[in-house]
Amino acid sequence: MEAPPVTMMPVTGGTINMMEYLLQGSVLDQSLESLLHRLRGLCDNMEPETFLDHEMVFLLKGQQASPFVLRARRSMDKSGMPWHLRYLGQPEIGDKNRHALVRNCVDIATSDNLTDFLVEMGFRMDHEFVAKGHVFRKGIMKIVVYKIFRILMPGNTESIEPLSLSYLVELNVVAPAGQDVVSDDMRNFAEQLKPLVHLEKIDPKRLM
Amino acid sequence: MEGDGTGRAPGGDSPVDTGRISGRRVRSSPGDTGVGRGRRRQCSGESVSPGPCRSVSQVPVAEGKSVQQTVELLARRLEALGADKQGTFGVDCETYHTAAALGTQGQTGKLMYVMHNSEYPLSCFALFENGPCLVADTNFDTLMVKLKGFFQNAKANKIESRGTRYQYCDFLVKLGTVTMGPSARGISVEVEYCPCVIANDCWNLLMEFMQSFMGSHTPGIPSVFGSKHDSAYSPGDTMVQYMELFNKIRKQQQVPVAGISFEPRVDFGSFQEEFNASRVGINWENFINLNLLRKLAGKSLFPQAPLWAKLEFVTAGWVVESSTSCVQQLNPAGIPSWLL
Repeated sequence: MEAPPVTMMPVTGGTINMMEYLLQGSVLDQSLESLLHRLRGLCDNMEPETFLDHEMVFLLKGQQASPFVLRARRSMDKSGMPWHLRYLGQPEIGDKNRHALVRNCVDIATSDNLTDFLVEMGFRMDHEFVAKGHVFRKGIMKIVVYKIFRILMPGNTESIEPLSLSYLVELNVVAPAGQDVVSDDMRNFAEQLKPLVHLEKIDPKRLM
Repeated sequence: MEGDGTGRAPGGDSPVDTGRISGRRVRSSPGDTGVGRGRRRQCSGESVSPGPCRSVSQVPVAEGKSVQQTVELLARRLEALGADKQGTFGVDCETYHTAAALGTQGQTGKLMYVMHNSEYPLSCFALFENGPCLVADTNFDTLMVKLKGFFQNAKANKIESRGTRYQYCDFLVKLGTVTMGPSARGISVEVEYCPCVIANDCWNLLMEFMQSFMGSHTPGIPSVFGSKHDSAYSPGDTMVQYMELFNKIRKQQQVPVAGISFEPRVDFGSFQEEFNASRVGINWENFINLNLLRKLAGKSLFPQAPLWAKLEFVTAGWVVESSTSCVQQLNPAGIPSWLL
């Protein structure tokens, strides 16, 4: 995609381009409690919040080489919550000084017939998983510690098994485009979590 | 829309109405009196979020009147009943179709409608005809911009209805002028019975109320009511009704044309016979070949022929409505400029 970086695009028509700033890391199961303990101390004071989500990733294949990806997420333990549809753009190739991975994101709350609607649009489900974990907040930063579970039978979220023996830790912020100071705040916070977990900018392309 | 060719109302050669009433029923939801309506951030689907029952229908333009005049007529009737004006409303509909890029996937071209309703300012409704209706927040519009390689916005098809809201006790009536671009294409009437969410429970009451100001133009029971049985009505059902109404109004002008419609004088003098005869064989009501009219008036023909115009008879003057200009009241002699 040769489009200019989203951070340079003007705000048009009243919609603001929102960017997701992301740092990721992981901890082994046995280190989870100490990480949670430290997070409870560092983060905003609130009731401990756990979540159990089911996420489905949909692809729309067109004539372009890369399919269009949309993520549909629903809560399995909280009733009455809307479904969450998310679009994530390509990571921006910014300067190396930027501490976090930055990509355009669009978050939409929808009604619960989202999967039927996506299929009607032409999307097909590529894969799905269950995420179970804890969420913390510090100002506009969100810290999520969760375990990914593989779904053994498609569509059946009762029979799941953990994908690994560790927990994924993500620190992310959704902010309007152009606010690079956010990544500095994220890096400073990440420093405080060392050596329990090392949060880094991980380029998904390098993993493939 | 194949008629019998004469296009005449029974009982003589008086001009017929241009529009049709299509009945729309709305299901109502019990207990929702409108408090918080439009402010509810919860974007639940049809099965989760009930709303008051509504009927959305089209009212034909009155004989001898323009769209604007008919709307005013209905408004006066409502005010005479005792209804109070309560702000304005707007419903709009954009059409997206699958771009050629999807052709390889074997998908036949589908039309997706993305609609907004001022009653629910934080929501966006996306629907397929005979398909699911998704209720989402307004970021959905941003997503459609990202999807423009796969779904193209047919901007010329954007259609909307805007007008005034009237409240009469537990009823809310929205009288709207349906426009496509700059031209007014019809009138929509949405009637809501606020306290009820089960459609079949209040249809009779809705109908009775509509008869008090719509008279013979009261619609029949909307098709969305039929499949609901005793389940609650939801805002998505209202949008389905509007989508059906808009589609119907779009089809009412089947010939792609400059969108010219005019209201000629009733008296054509020596040309009356020929004028009447010219309407035979027209396969939809109220359209006439403009070039024929020019010929009738002894003028040279338009270079781009045929030009079809929709006839709305008025008792005085000529009104010309085209896609490039607003409705124009013509000179006192009543002769349209294109005939001069």
